[in-house]
Amino acid sequence: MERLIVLRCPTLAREGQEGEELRRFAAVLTAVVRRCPFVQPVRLGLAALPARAPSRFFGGEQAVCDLLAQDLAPLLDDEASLGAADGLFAATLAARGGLLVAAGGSAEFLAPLSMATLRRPELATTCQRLGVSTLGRFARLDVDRVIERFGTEGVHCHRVASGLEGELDGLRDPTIHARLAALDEPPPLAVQPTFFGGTSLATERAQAAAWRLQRRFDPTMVQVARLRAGHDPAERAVLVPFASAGDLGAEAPAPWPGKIPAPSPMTVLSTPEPVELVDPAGTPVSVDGRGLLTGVPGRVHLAHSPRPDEVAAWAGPWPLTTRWWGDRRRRARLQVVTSCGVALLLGAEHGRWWMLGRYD
Amino acid sequence: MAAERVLPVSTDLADLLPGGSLRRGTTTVVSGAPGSGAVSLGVSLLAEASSAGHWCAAVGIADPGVLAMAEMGLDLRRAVFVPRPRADWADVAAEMLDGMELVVLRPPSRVPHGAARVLTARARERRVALVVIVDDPRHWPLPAEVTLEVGASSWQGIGMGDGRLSARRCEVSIRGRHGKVRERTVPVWLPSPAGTVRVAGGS
Repeated sequence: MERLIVLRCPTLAREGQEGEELRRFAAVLTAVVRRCPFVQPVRLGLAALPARAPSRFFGGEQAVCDLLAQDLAPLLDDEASLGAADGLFAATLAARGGLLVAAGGSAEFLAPLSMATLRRPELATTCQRLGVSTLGRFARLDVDRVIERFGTEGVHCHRVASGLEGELDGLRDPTIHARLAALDEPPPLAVQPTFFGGTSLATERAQAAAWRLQRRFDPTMVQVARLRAGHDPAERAVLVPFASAGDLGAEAPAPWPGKIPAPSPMTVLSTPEPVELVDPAGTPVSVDGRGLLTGVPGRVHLAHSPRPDEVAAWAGPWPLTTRWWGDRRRRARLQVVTSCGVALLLGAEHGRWWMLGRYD
Repeated sequence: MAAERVLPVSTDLADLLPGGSLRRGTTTVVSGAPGSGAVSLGVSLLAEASSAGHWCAAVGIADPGVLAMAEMGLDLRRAVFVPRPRADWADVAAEMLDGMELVVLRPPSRVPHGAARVLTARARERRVALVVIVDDPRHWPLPAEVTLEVGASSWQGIGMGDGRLSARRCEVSIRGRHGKVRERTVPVWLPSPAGTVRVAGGS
């Protein structure tokens, strides 16, 4: 399990209205990257870096933490808290207390901590009723009982609590990279006074219908589109509520060149869905350090599909040219056509595959 | 005055529709399973009219690939989206039929008879071109002006680990009511290697 140093900026963990926290968090990452180029944002106010190389270079984990705390002091209202442990879950909790948990000591460190740290309120409540209030007692439950009672999600939490898995699902904010990247993208293209512009009768009627709908239902229900730069279809086109689009309408929205050429997927999932990609023998296929597939895709299993589909053709993977804080992450895109003729855009991220879009 | 009764459709798609255009006040059904290309075809029917400045609404296309729509010629400056109308989809579509000139609707499932009648009547009254995208043609319970059913398709340009998705060729079956439309199946690029959606000519 990877040894990580985690950096927490509690004052930046919650987003305000102006996006100030995101900009300040980007400044924090920029400061850290000067010392440790492999730092990755986990979510707003939380970043992780592999501990080994910087510890060797700066003379131990404590030295790295002290150095970073010193670098960041001028950037933050309160102090950043830093900690280290095996696996992201334990390291995040260690950072809360400013602790360096010994290598191999994650399970012992986690044992007395509350079930609430798993961020699964229902699981915590049920366990409380069973008299299980700490991660250690949860870890001692028989895995068969856990799967019976809590299903695969429970087993995942059980493995995390036991220190067998380093990363708790849901700990990372999947949007954080895109949001940080968006900070220094070109501003929205040209600006016109109002989205609807013009004054023709047809335009007035269209505008009135949109306003009516918003009043009747929900102010964010009616949306308009805007194009901008980015790698992915999801980054390159966004929908914004019509109500707030008054001065956003692009005069001449010309598509920006993207990483994957047209055609783009007609469905772009606002929340990517996990998918399994395996070779014909059933072995998971992933992207290796050189950006190549570790096997030949044979079957793809979508989240809501009862069974996997055969892969008839595929192209890629195309590695994403990520930003400096993503250098170490292996992000890639893959196009897959199933034997039914359905084409999908998949993304490799966080060590697994996601369905990003479908060519509907 | 004939020009006012219709909305323009790209000449590349004219063969799919009687008179080569979308008639105001009529309902066009485009059907096909998820991933078949039906959404691409439905949206491209609106592209030419949006470029000519006519207002479009897309109701119920939950995660719209806005970039793909722009690639297919939709003028985003003339398009509004209601991606998730939830249970109110029929009400929302009816409101949009009151203000827009073209509405593309993707209902969540089979459309109840009553809702289909209300929407058809509203489209006729307001002289709006309504395009309904469904998984199965039976999900729209009334006769439509034209029904375009996207069938078998094949992707080109992509191999076993090489190339990339470049073009898709689909079989589209055309049916109309009152025998006004000759029933037939035509090959359609969704999209062509050049990126446009068009009826495949010749070959």
